[in-house]
Amino acid sequence: MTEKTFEEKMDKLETLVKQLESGNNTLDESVKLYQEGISLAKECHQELQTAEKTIVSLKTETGLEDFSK
Amino acid sequence: MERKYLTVTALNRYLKYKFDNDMNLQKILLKAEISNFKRHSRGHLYLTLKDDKSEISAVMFLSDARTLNFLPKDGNQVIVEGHLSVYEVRGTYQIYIKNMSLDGVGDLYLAYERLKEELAKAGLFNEEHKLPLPKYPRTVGVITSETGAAVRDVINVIGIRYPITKIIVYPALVQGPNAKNSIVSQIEAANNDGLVDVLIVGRGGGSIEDLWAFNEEIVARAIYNSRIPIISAVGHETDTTIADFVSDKRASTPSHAAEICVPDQKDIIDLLNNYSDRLSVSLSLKHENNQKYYNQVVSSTVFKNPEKILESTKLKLLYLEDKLNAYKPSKQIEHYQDNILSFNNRLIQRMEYIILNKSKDFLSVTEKLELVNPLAIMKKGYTVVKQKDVIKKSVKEIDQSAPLVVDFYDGTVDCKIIEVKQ
Repeated sequence: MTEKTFEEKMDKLETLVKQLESGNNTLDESVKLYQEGISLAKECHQELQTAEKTIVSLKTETGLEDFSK
Repeated sequence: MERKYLTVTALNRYLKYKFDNDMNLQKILLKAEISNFKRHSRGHLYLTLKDDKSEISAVMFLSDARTLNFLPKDGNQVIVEGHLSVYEVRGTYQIYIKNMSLDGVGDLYLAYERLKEELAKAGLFNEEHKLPLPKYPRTVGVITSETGAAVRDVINVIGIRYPITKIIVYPALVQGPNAKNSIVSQIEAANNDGLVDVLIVGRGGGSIEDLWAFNEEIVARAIYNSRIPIISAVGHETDTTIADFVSDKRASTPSHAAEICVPDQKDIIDLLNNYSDRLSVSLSLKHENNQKYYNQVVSSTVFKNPEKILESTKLKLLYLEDKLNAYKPSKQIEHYQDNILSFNNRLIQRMEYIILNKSKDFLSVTEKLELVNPLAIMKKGYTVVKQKDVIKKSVKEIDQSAPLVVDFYDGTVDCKIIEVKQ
């Protein structure tokens, strides 16, 4: 399975939160939803924090070139 | 010779007649600079048109002024179309302006208006053609001059708001005669590459001529045909180009486009925290509810006083036992035996009673019998007369020839009949 995009993770997270909030789950399921949600939230958080500087490229005739200042 | 004097009114009327009948003055095209510009409260415009040596009064009535596509002010170089006439009341002549546009860009404005109308009619600006922007773009494409201020603004704003996104700059000429083709080919290139989720197309501020590429039809159509959503970002807030109408989202400046394009990571972190909180709250609520339920179950009588349940069961058992006992066969037998006994007793009693009664009857009958006993009567002196063992109750029954037997209570006497008398 390919790595999920940030958007997919955020969407999944939102679904998990709503599912858990619905209260229509057993305690077992709730714990699983919680664990999955919290680990996704951490993952997203980490992804944001580890990004230091935006990668900027310049499209040229030969391809992409680094376009950092 | 008597001199003829004219009235002022007649003179002005004559002059007006002369002006109005000069075909050269009926359609005047004039290049001039505006001065003494005044807007009357009723909406008519009063101004002076001048060049470096001369000037002329001008008026533009509200009905014509409505069509202006710029706000005239002193110093504007303008192209004016109108006719000349005399204002009789004041004896002044002036130009009545029909159309007025800024000199140099007048044609551009006309072209702009014409194209805008045409594309609007063709439906290129319709809401249903607008593509939605991605919420969290992975890669943002920027079509602009790679040396301009616009690209720096975009990179800076994105770098601060949402650094995890990547940026690909598609360098394009953004002014001059080759700009339109350059922009179009980069929009197409970005679509062919398929590397970016969203495109920012634009440039920084400049004169209307500088921004003109963004009013070109081929640029508008390239934006319309793009499968990647496009945010237009041309010039300053006051500049509006065709590109702005046809793009999926209009930004007032390149920096603004960057803000629209990517979310602020601060907001995302807030959202993540909000999600985490909600997850925790929901789970502990779930736990709490389960705890409550558990407590409720545990505190129910069944678990609290299990003997209570036993007790009632015991009671029931006892009751059933009683019932069962009542129907035990030995009991039945006993019961029947009792019955038999009682019947027996009753029978005996009955028999005794009957016997008693019968013996009483017997005694009384014996007594009665005693009363009619013939022996008892005979003891009193009565006898029974028989002839040949037949009791004779009358003299007439007597046979004189036969012997007569007389029974006494204590014996018999055989007799001979001597005589029968009646």
